[in-house]
Amino acid sequence: MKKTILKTVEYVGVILVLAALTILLGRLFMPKYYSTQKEGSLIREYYGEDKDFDVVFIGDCEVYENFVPAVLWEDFGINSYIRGSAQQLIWQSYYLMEETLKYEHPDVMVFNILSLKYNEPQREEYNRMTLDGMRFSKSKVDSILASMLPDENFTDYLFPLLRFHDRYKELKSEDISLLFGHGNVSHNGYLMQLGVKGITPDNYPVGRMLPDYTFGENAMKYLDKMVELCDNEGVQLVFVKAPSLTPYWYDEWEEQVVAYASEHNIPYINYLKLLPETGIDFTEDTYDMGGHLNLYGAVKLTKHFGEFLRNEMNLPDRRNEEKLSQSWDEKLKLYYAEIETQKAAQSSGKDE
Amino acid sequence: MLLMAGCDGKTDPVQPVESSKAPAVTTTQDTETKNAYVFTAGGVQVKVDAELGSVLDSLGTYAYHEETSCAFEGIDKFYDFGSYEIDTYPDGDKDYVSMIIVRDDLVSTTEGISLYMTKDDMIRVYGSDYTENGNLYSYDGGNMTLDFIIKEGEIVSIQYCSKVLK
Repeated sequence: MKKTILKTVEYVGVILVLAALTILLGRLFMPKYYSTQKEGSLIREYYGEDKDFDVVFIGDCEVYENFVPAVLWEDFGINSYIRGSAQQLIWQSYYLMEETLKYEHPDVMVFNILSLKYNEPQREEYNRMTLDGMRFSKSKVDSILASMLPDENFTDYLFPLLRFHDRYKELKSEDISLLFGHGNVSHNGYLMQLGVKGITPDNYPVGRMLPDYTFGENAMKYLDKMVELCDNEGVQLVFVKAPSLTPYWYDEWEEQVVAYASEHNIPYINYLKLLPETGIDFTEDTYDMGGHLNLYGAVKLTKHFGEFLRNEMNLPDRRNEEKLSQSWDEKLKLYYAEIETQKAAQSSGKDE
Repeated sequence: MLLMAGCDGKTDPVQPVESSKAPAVTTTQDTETKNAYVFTAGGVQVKVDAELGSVLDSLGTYAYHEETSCAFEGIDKFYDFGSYEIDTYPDGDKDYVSMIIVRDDLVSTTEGISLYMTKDDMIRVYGSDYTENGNLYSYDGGNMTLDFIIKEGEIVSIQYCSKVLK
């Protein structure tokens, strides 16, 4: 009997050690997304928050590069967070919405509609940046299944060691120093860029003709699911199109979104049509010739959107809430510190 | 190599050329890029997947914009010459032609097809060995495709597309 117990303990011990080793090696080999490709850290950072947001933005780079939660707080007292990631596909956005609603119940969810252009999974590197950051849940499993490319394996997403084991050749000191995590790269999901690389109107891109402008069935299916989810949860859904000149946004796409939003009674703001109202000037408010706004442009955009949230969505000013204000005081210190850091890097000639 | 843009529409595997469907105009495969179709503007040849480099200086004035990808390094560049556009992708410190888009009927393909000509004109010149996906007609040209979008029998778009984008 004693021998059997000892044997069992021995087996369990071995299994625990192997499991710990697997987790540790997985952490070691996973890309850290810290000094480069920071976008890969965005989804993960949400879990460290108190999750009492009035507004949650969901979408691709058009949310995390263009809207600034710090401005919504400072100017309007609106507590917001951006659950954005690079080339976040619409089914990934849906499952992030679903997961978010397990944690909290925001008044408004804002979805940037650019990803309607993609009807199928695109690229593993981008999948990883969204999916690997998610905590294990049914939403994550469903998102993996919806996102996998034909040559990808489900188990590789559950056990990143299987996918990244060959990174041993390219491990850097950062992989060891950040083995147990690192500080946030974003400010409530906003990834700051202070650079300026403008574009004049005579250089604005012209979209090339497409064989078919109809959004795909799969993409529209997930848009329907988003609407249903928000309806069921009593969350106000808002569609936005950020003022990005690239990827090109076609009139034919715009017509479909306008019709859908109208049919489902969902507010939709296309900021490409509101450049004078926001004051965005692409000769100075972008760091990459109109693909994304820099901080100066993002602040202008956010101030305009804040007015909409306050006036049309009737979101209250929460700056009188002591605990929340204290939390934001700390966040704003980091926000302004990064502005100074990036300015210093610019003046010394090396961009962040 | 970073590739973010892409030609739309999927091409099916290329079928062997039947002799009865052989193109009326034969094209000579470019030895540098292994491409069957090469665009010519003002006497200058522009080849998909070839380095743009000094060719750019020979083509005249253009509007320019660029597109960075989210998260990854590298810049896709877009040169708009009015009647046509040349797009490039980066590989190392060089830029290679990813796509050539014909924008009006002031220019034509090297084989003489321009916008607003008919589907019959296209078949007369390039033959029937195309793959069809909706209103997109693609001719396989080795490492690239020559794509026509046809609406109501009329050619409304001509695009030379690198296969590395697909």
